[in-house]
Amino acid sequence: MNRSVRFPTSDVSDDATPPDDVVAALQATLAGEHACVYGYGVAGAYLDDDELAAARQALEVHEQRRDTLREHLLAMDVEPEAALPAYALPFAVDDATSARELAGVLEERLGAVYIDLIGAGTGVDLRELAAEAVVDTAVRAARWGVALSAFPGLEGREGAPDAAGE
Amino acid sequence: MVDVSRRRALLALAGIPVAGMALASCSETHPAKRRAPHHHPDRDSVVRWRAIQLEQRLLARHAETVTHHPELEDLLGTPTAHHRAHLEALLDDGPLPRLASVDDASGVSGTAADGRTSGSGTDTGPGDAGPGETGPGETEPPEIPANPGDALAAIRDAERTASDLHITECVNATSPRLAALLGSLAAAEAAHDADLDGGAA
Repeated sequence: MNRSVRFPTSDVSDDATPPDDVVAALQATLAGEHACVYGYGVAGAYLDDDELAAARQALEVHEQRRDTLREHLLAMDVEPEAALPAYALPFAVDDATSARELAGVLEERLGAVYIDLIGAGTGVDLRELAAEAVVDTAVRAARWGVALSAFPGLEGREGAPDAAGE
Repeated sequence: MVDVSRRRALLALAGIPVAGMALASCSETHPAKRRAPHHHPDRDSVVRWRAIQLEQRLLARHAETVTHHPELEDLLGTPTAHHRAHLEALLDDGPLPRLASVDDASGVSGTAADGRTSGSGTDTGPGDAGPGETGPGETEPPEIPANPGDALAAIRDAERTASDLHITECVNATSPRLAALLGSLAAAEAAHDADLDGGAA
């Protein structure tokens, strides 16, 4: 997952968007979901009870979104990105605290990828899917203890709004 | 997942003009009588204007809630600051034209759309409102439940509603930049609801 992508700035309509941009954004989002599914598999091993149930529920949602993204790519005659055998974690995960933190980071970063999908000038269906995913990732991130953000998915982006009101 | 039909119903509600703090001061005219009769604002201006209204309504509810229940001020501090930042971000894209007719279903017409306060020092161009008059959309401040728990529940409901509406407008926006901003605002407001719920994952 790449957070250095620029804030979307072009004012292109759906019709004018180069298909390659949409394909690239879809593939990046699919890669993000692959990583998220992997990460929840790791985090879940250290969580119990309600938190484990929440991780399993999140995993299910991410698997569904992964499959939906694959279907969109296949419908465009594009071979979907395959999952990697393993992903580098941003930090060591060896207890419940680090597992919760990982889950929060996964959701937070995935939200930024979905923002890019919105900005790629996708059609209505994909934009709606992406917007709902951004919302879902922000809610899950908050529930995993990530501090509230004024602009989820846009924080730190070039040209992003200033959250100075905080 | 957000129920689409519910969002569409909410969008219709969003068109009901409500005077937020800033909106009231900038729409101090009776534009229905003064607007150009054949002006048609572009789609993104309408989308942005609705989002501005929404943020103003949220800020008005937060402020009124804290007035009635000062003990909630700390809890609402961060979400309130976020709404101010949201409003600033929406206004930073420049002044909006006077909206002759937002759309047929919204019931909003002829209201100065900029949403800036009269003291902002910004030239709003043809959308500038004259002083001393009130817009047609001005309504009463939000009713705040007497019980603090109920007042907080009303805030959470308003946050969820705003999130749903921002998603709808995100889909409606033609500019990817505006769409991305609205998607982010929808996410922030849904996260406010989750945070105020205080629930664990």
